[in-house]
Amino acid sequence: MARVFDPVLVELRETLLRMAGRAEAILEKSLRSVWERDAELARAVARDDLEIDRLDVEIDDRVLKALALQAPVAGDLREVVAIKMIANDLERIGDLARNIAKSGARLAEQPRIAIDPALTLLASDTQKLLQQALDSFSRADAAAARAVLDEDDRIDAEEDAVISSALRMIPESPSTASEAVDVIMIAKNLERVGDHATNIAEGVILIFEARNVKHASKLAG
Amino acid sequence: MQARLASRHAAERRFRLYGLFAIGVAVATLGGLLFSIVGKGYTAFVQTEILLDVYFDAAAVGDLEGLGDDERTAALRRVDYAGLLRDSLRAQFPEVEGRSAVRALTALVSAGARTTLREELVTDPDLLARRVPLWLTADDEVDMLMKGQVARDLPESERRLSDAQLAWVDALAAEGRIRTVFNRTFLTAGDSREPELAGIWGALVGTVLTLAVTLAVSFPMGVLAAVYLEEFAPRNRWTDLIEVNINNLAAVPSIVFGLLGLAVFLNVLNLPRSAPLVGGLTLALMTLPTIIIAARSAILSVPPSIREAARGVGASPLQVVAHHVLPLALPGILTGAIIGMARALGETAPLLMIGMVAFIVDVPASLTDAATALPVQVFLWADSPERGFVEKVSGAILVLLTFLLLMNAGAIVMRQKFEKRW
Amino acid sequence: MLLAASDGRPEVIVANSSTEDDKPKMKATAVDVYYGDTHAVKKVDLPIFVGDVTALIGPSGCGKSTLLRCFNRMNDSIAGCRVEGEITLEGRSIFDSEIDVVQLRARVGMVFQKPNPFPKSVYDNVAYGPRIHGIARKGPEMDAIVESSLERAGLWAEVKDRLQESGTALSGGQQQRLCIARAIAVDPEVILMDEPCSALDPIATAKIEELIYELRGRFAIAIVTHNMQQAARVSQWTAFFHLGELVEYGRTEDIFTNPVQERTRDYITGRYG
Repeated sequence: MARVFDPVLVELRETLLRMAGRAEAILEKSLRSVWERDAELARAVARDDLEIDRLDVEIDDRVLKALALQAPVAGDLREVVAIKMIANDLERIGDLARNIAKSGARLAEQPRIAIDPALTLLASDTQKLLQQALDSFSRADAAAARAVLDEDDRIDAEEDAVISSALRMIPESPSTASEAVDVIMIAKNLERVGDHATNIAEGVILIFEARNVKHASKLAG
Repeated sequence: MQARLASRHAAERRFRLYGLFAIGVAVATLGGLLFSIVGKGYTAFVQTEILLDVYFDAAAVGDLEGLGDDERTAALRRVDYAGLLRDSLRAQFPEVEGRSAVRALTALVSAGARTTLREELVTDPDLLARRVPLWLTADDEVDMLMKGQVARDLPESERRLSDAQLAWVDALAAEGRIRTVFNRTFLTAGDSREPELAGIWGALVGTVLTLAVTLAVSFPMGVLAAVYLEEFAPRNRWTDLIEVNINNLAAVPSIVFGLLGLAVFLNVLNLPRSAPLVGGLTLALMTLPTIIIAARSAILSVPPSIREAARGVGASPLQVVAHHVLPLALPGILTGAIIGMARALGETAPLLMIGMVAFIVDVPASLTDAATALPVQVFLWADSPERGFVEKVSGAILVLLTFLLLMNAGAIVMRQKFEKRW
Repeated sequence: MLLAASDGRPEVIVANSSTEDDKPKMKATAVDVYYGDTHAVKKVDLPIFVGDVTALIGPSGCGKSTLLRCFNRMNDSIAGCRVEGEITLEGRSIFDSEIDVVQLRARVGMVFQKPNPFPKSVYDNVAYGPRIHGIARKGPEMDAIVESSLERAGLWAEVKDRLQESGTALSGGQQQRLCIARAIAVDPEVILMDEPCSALDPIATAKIEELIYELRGRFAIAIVTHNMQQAARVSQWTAFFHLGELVEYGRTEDIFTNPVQERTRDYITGRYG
């Protein structure tokens, strides 16, 4: 009974897109709290994460109902399942953003140090990756999702650069050791955001190409 | 395995042959029957006539001068037409002398010829004092002779026609004064003692009236009874008893219904004996079980889903029956009616019991006039000694069969009209 | 919530689902049904709400059809069938001596398992109900009712040039929609459906399910189905029957995501029997 299921699916998609918007927003906010040393902003992030969690629970409920009541098959089924998978990743991104914000709050209390430009690059690349992944879902563009998968290595390399550079700084400037640690943690969290963006892209490929490409390189090699 | 297959095929072929054989026997019998009836009966539809120059002697009529119309007609009716005939015949055969010979001569022409002459003169009084050639109905013996039914080579004492009469007939034939024409009388006249004047019309009208009564009584009652028994009656021992009895009644010999009709309609209700009304009622009693059984079967064959649908929409039980069940059951009911009426058409015994066996000359004009029916007429004529009635019997049977065919055809046409598919 | 249709069909206004506090259109209370000595339906309570579809599910012979047929007193014509308990329509008992069964069936319509259009024309099929109930007279008034009923049943476009053809000449799915149009034509308040799709192919079934979904805004619909997925798709309330008893009743989404009774669980998950 497609005419009844379609709105169910449409609502599910819209809820996910709302969640996606909030995830992007929360990432942006948390990063700004770091770069602008805004402790207030950092505290606001915690509240935003609650909203993401609430949407995650809503999607749980909707997915369960859709599967139980509509018994979707084929593309509909893949989409419902993938939406749940993507929601999981978005929820984790929310948590990661909160972590970044916590580091940001700590950095805000310290005297200003120059933020490693590599970290700035990492942050902007990660945001772009997430945006690309989410765009590929809303535009139903599997090719764009595949492009996201290719970018993941770059994120990892940038993360390595930031971490090794920070690690070198610690012995050089012991008084700023805690900032360096926070920088490392922010970098690590951003890398995991990138991983989750990759997962989201994999979900998109599942929906539109009916292929499960998770852990592809590991499983192949 | 192969052997079994072969024997199965052989059995099938044998079975089919049996079937064909059975059909063949039935068709052959039917064909033979029809052939014999038609062979014996077709001559009933033709009649021999003699051309005679009739002189309407004014002297025999008397003076019509100064008489009014009615008196004139009455005078014309009183004329001795037998005498006119006699004279005209003697004019044809002037050599015939002697009373017995003359009587033999006049016997060549049917007694009904007098009526013909009378009608001619009354219609056209100007024929008076004129010699007019008229085709007159020949006597049944002459008719039989012309149709080849009389053996000329028998000795005279064993023949109905004497040698002299044969000679006169031959003489008339030689002059071209004898012809055989279509016998309208057979289809338009009532019964008569004289074969050449006997017709089937009275019996036909009697049959039509009787069957009309039968149909009018048994059809509605039968259908309504069936409707009640199937749709409304509760299922209990009483209705089972009724059903058994109806089935049995359908098999009761028809003469029993005649006895019933005699006892009830004639003796108790004092209805006029021999009337189509009584005949129709008696036959209706006989036909009723047939119609009830056929109607019940037709009603049963209407799928219950139609009834449920109608009830679901809010039709009352009466509406369900009237709007849905009856229209769909109508073809089956009509078939039952055809069967019942066909049987009623051919039944003689019950009609005999209620007296429709009298010799009725007049064509019945109403339901209470004395009448007879086609099968009874056949029975009566078969009983008569005159040779002339032999062909009439077969002719009447042909008329009966034609009537039956027409009745069935009419009913089938009606059934086609109401046939609905579901 | 408005579903704007893109194919030119009328907009469907999906009514808000009733809550258990709303008054039901029809209610069965402690209903027992006996066929002779057999106790077919045992002390069942069941409400039917307007704006919602109530599904009756359960294995064969569990009494769901029997109960359904009580709501329009179709069981009256079955010899030996005895109904006890209370069934009300808008608060008034349908067994009241003042109630005319014929009128009741104009307010509570029924669609049967096997499509059973009358062997009349499409037009006459739909017009029959209004005609015998005196709702409309022959002519433009009746034409309007026939058209709107066929329209609401989603059949108008397919038959508007064939109104005089026999109803039985239509395909199975079309025949069933014709039966639905026939039921709608008398403007009932409740529509009872006894396995309406079990004789139809999947596409015809899908069309009927969509139709049911659209109709619920205007009527109270109760549907008996042996197809659980259909009940899940189409209904807002589900009643699960087993051996004549109402085992569980509740919102469809609850029954299918988390049934309470073990028997319900077994049946729904297919572990029954």
